[in-house]
This record gives sequence, structure tokens and C-alpha cells, in this order.
Amino acid sequence: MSLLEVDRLQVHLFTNRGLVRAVDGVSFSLEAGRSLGIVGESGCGKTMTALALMRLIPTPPAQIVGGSIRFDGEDVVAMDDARLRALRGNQIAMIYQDPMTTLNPVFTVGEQIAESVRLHRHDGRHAAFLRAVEMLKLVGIPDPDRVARAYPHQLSGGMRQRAVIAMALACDPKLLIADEPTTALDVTIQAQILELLRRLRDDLGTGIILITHDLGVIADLVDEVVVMYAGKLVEHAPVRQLFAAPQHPYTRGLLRSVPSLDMREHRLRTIDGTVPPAHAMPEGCRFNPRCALVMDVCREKEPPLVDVGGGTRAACWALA
Amino acid sequence: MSDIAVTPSRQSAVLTYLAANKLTAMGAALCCLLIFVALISPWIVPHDPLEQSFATANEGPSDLHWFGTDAFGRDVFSRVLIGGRISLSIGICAPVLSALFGVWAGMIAGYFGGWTDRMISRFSDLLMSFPSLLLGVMIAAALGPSFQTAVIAIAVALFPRFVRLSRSATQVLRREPFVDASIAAGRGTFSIMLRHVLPNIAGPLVVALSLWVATAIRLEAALSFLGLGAQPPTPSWGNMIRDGMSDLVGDPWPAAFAGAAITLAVLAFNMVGDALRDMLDPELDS
Amino acid sequence: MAGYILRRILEVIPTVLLVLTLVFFALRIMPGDPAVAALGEFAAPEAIEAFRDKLGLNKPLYVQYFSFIGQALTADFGRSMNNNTSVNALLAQALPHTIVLGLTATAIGIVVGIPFGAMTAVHRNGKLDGFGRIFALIGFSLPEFYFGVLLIIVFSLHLDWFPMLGAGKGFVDQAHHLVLPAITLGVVMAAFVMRLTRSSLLEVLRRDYVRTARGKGVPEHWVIFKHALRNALIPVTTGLGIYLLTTLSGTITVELVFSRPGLGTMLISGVSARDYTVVQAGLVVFAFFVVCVNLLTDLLCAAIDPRIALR
Repeated sequence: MSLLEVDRLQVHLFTNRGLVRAVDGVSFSLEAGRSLGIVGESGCGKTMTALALMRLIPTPPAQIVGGSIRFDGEDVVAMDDARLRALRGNQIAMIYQDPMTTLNPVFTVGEQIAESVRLHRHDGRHAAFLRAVEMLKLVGIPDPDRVARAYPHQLSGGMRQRAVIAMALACDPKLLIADEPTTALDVTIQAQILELLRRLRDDLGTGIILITHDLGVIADLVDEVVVMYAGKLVEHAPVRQLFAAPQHPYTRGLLRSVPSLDMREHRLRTIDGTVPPAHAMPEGCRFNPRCALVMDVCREKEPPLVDVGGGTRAACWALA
Repeated sequence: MSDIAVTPSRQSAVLTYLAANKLTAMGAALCCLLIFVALISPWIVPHDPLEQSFATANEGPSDLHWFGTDAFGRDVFSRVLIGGRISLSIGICAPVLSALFGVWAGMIAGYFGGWTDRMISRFSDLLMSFPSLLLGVMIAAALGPSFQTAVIAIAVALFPRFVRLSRSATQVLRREPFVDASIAAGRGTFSIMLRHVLPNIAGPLVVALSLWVATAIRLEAALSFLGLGAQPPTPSWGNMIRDGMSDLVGDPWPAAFAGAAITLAVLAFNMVGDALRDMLDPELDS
Repeated sequence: MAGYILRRILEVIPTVLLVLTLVFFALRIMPGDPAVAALGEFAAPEAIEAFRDKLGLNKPLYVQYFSFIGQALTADFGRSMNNNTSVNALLAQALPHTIVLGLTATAIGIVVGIPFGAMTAVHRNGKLDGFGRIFALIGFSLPEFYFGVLLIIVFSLHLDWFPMLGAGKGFVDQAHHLVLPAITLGVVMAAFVMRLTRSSLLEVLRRDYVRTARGKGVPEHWVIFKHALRNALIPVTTGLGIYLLTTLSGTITVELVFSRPGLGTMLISGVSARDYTVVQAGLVVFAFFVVCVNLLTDLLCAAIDPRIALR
């Protein structure tokens, strides 16, 4: 049994301008201790997928309308509130995008880390606080005793993100979901945070789902990659396979836009066009208006997800 | 001219909004009705609001006296209609007067900055820190109770609100390149404020005015209730409640109807003011 | 924090002086000669002269000014012009009634307003929220003194549950007399506090840190009452300070409605009797309350929001 099995997950957004299929039939699974990257441009539904795994999507307007999320064999979608609370922050924890807004300004960092410990391990105030200090030390914060007593506004962005990571790891979760954990940070800090995640993955053996728009970030951090486009899973492959032999035209486009050291071309390539507006998706394959290999069938029917060998699945008529 | 092109669409936007918000439309209609009735009240009152008759004192509502009569036998309905003239005219005049001074003070503070700004802001912050009714009482104590006192007292109480509004708007505009261009072109300070600053704050100003009309009506009522506003026998809604208080046991009608009139007027102007504010700032509690 | 408190307290000094100056000059432009007002129009010129002498009205303006500031700061307000009783004695009688009324009303406003507002925000657009909307609309539009009159008509005249006038004697009787005036002011304040809490909480519930709390497995009522409400209370506290002052000035009209012998009644009868020393004392005391409430509000905000003291 896998740690996490997501099966045909569907999240719909009910907006004033109509229905948006934010996540449309996405399936993947993750073994305990392994790591998975979810990649795509902004607005492709990757954050919505991540939030849905913990049922943290804002309802309304968003709602899980179909599919299942099995964590340790138990369906998260069908869980009652009490069971869900016991899971959140304990078995599954999350690192969010913007450390400037994810911490509560009126509580000290230590209090916020200790809160999960007290909730899930029923530790006393003091024991929980000590655990918080220990966690801060683990994520590489110098002088953790003092930082635990500080309020978020007294810390830099990088320090806050470390504190958020400490908070997520406080109860030794089996699964850590990191939603663009470095996007809001400076480049040098980004590298430090990624290095920290890499170390934690190796030391703690926590399963990790890393969500990012930057393929360069995940190359040596995850085992497998899921590529999403406009709410659809378009390719799912082991990370080496994906970099060596990308199958879907969109994945190839994404890879071409990653800067590399041995770049022959002087100009970064980007994918032509933009993601169509969410409420005006094209018929057939959603990527067809931007695809260089577009065929007639692409404009009529959605491509099925097919196994193309090497552990890769991709949804493209050119492969079917 | 661009102005002409803009006006009709703005009007139709207002009309579309009113159509979509029945409650606001009701409030707007009520405001218009109240103002209209106050304007024509001398010609439509069924009885002379000042005519006393002890034979018919303290009567309840009847076909002849719809709202009953007061302790002097005066017709309460006629007095409520006429009283609306005082209450509404103070309620509208005082904010306008206040805006006249406050907007200029704010523009001067925002435009010049430095110690001019500090002086004006300090003074207006001080006024702001006092509850309006207390300021009103203070001014009425100084100037003696009268219609004019009420207008001045309310105008002073609202003054810092207008200062704040125009000061911050001016500070923003002051940094705009077209203001620098005007200075370079040799345009005077006064004329820059008139040409560039004033038109730009007109929208928020109208909203503020409509919001403060409700406050002003309420304040006027409180001041005349305290005996510090329009003096008897001139009826105003506030002093009618005051008069009615002396014999609440025998005849609660004058106080009840006068108070209902105040509530209705404040409610109507509040509804319109809130709607205007929401229109300018749709982010607020959408 | 200690530095912030000290700084904020020091800032009060110029404000107090400015306020006292304002009160002083406001009363100098009071129409009519206070001596004539006190002694009557037909008093002998010598008597008027002696009266002016006794009150120091013949001294140069700056001497009057400094003696007034001295009086105000030492809380010695002299004697009433009309009946020669000590103004301090009048204040001592009046103040407790006003303070008790103001505090009770504020307590009602907070105890009703904050939970009610929080519930309307949580169940936004529900039935309770609709009821709250109407309650607020009425609360904003109904002048408190008229609300008092209505309560008297219903609960004193018709139902005879509560006494109509005065402040009563003895604890139980006084409490009985306090109910209607306190409800009058408290309900109006509750309407305001409710709306403020609602909009403030709705704003906070959209913040990322609320999601973070949910993501930690914090029970929903804790998310709202611990994580969100504490943040939402920062603007509510500021608003509460402002509204406390409105309630304070509201005691003036409400005291008049219920004939409570408080500070407002004293001030207004002083104004109508042109009793200069009484008016002066009343205004200074009210101004003192205003300065104190503003100070307390700022300190309370700093206690709730750790970011303020560091600014």
C-alpha cells in the first residue's frame, strides 16, 4: 500500500464567471519516504492539488467534487472533521509559499510551533516549547532559544520560512507538502532552503511533495515528477527519465525554458502563447492552441494518459 | 470636452446600481421625499404648527390630528413636518460649511507639508479625539444656544474628517508630475489647488458629505434635545422630544413621532451614504 | 514595551495643555457677562464688581489663564457661581453615576457586540447575519436618547418593570435604576462593535495564517477564537476606543432622558444657568476622560499587537 494514492481528483471552483475545473482527474501515488515534484505554470492547478491533499482548499468557492485521496489507506475526502484534524499537522504537514503571511503576527514563533506539538502529542506547555526550540535548531536557526521567543515580524523572510518548516516537521509527519517554498525568497536564501529540504529528506525519511513552477529546483530533490497543465496531469515520470526523454510537448517546452550551464543558445526559449483563461478552455487537448505538433484529433478529443515505457505516463495524441 | 462624455455614463452607472440594490434605491427615494416635504411643508401642513389650544392639549392620534397634539394643543404632525425643515437644513448646511473650511485646510496642509501641516494636523487630530457631541456641547456652551450655534458646533465637529480626507489626497497628488508641470508653468498655488487638487477629490468628498449628513442630523437632534440648538417655539425634532419629555406619562406621542422622524431621516441618509461608499470602494465587504 | 508606554504617556502632557487652553478660550467667548448672569440684570454695579473681583474676572487674561491651568491640574474648581456650593462636591456626587453608566454600557457593548459580530462573520450571509445587519442599521440610525425614551414608554410606563427617573438609593435600587439607561447606551454600542468585529474578522479569516492554523489541525473554534479573533481585535480595540468616547458623550443625553444626576446633567444645567465654574469643571473632566480613554486604547492595542510597541 502506498503512503498516498490520489485517484482521479477533481476540484471545481464555483466563481461568478462560471465553473472552473481547477484540478481535473489527476491521479498519482507516492510511496513512504519517496519524493514527488508537481510542476507547471502558475494557474495550472498545482497549488489547488496540494491544498486539496489536506482538504485546505477555500470552500466556497472551491470544492472537491470527485475522486479520492487515500492516505495510509484512508480516504481524506470522506474523513470527518475530527479525523481530518488528527491528520493535519501530524501525519501530513505543509510548507507554504509566502513566509511573510503564513505565520500569525500576534504569537511568538515558538508558540506557533509548540501548538502542533501540544495538539497532537498532548505535551505540556514547557515540553512543547522545548520541542519547538529543538525543531528550530534542526532547521539550522542559530540561537533557537531566542528565535522561539521572537514574533514573526522580528525575523527575516528566510528565517521565517525555516520556522515554517520547523513547524511542519514538529510532529514527524509522514508526508510533507511544500508549496513553492522558495518563490518568495531571495536567490541565495532559496538555495539555502532547498539545501535544508534535501538534508531533511535524507535525514528524516519523510515523504515529500514539492510544488514548483521551476523545473531546475526539483532535479536533484525528487524521485518522480508530475507535470500539470490547466488542471490536467499531462506527464508523470521518474525524474531522470523526464529530463532525459520528456514525452509531452508541454514538458519539452518547460525543459527548454530552464537555463543550464552548458547552454548553446544564447536566448532562453519559452513556450509560445499563454494558458487559456480558466473558464474558456479549448475543446480536446487543453494544450492544443500552443502546441507545435497539433493535429485535428487534438482539437476534438481529450488525449488519454498512456504508458509510454520507462515508467512514464503522458497524455498526448502524438504518443497514443 | 471629456467631462461631457463622462457624465452620462456615470449617471447610468448610478442608475444601474440603484436598480440592482432595492434597499439603496428606497433610501435614496426616502431622502428625496424628506427633503421635498421639508421644502414645501409650510404650504402643506394641515394646522398651524405654532397655534396653541388648551382645549385640545395632549390628545392621541385622531383623524383631525394624525399624530395627536402636544401639551399646548399644537398639532404634532404639522410640527414634525415643519421641524424637518430645521433638522434637515442644519443636517445639510453644517457638513457643507464644514467641508468648505476643512477641505481647504486639508489641501493647504497636504500641499505645503512641514510645520504648516503639523499645525493643522495637530489641531484637527485634537478635535478628532473628542466625541462630536461633546464638542457640540462645548461650543454651544461658549456661543449660547441657537440655530447658528448648532450649525457651527456640528461644522466644527465634522471639520477634522474633511481635513483628513483632503490632506491625504493632496499629499498623493502633490507628487504627480502634472502638478510640477503647473508650477513650472508659473501657475499659482491657489490656482493649482483649484484646477488639479479639488476636481480629483470631488468623488470621495461627495461620499463623505452624504455620510456626514446622517451624523449631522443625529447631532442636531441631540443638541436641540439638550436645549442647545434651535430654540422654542420653533419646532425641531430634537426639541420636540425635549418638550415631550416633560409629560411623557400623559402624552408620549409628540416625543415618539419626532424621534421616529429623526430615525427615519438618519436611516435614509445612512443607507445612501453607505451605498455610495461601497460603490467607490467595492472591495469593502463585497 | 516599557519605552513605548513611557513615550505614549509623555505625549499626553502637551495634549492636556492644549485641551485646557481650548476649554479656557472657549469659555472666554461665552456670551453675556457671567457676573450679570449669576446676580441678575438688576444687581447693583458694586455687587457685580465685587463678584468679578472674587472670581478673578478683573485680572489680566494671562493671569486668569495660569490660575485656570493651576486649578485644573490640582483638580480644584472653586465654587458654583449660582449657589456657592463647592464644584468639587458637585463633581463628587455626579461622577460615580456617569462612570457606572458608562462602564456598564461599555460592558454590554463588548459582551454582546464581539461574540455576536464574530458569529455573523463565521456564518456570513446566514440568518443570524441578516438579523445582525438589521440590528446594526437600526443601531446606527436610532439616536440613543430617543431609544431611551422608547424604553421608558414601554418598560416604565406600560409594563412598569423599571423606574423612570433618577438614580435611586442603595445598591439594589441603584442597579434597578441603571438597567434602562445602560441598555440604551449599551445596545447602540453593541451594534457598532458587532459590525466592526464582523468586518475585521472577515478580513482576518482570509489571511494565510488562518489556513496555516487549520493546516496544523487546530480545531475550527480555536482557529476563529484564538488565531483569527486576536488579530481581528486590533482594529476593534481602536474602534472601541473611539466608540467609548461616543458612549461617554452619549451619557449626557441619556442622563437627561432618565434624569440621572450625573456629570452630563450637571454640565447641561450649568450651561443653561450660565454657571461658568460648573461648565468649566464639567468640560475639563470630560476632556480628561477623553485623553485617558485615548491613552488606554493605545496601550491596549500595543498589548494585543506586538508590532505596535516596536514601531
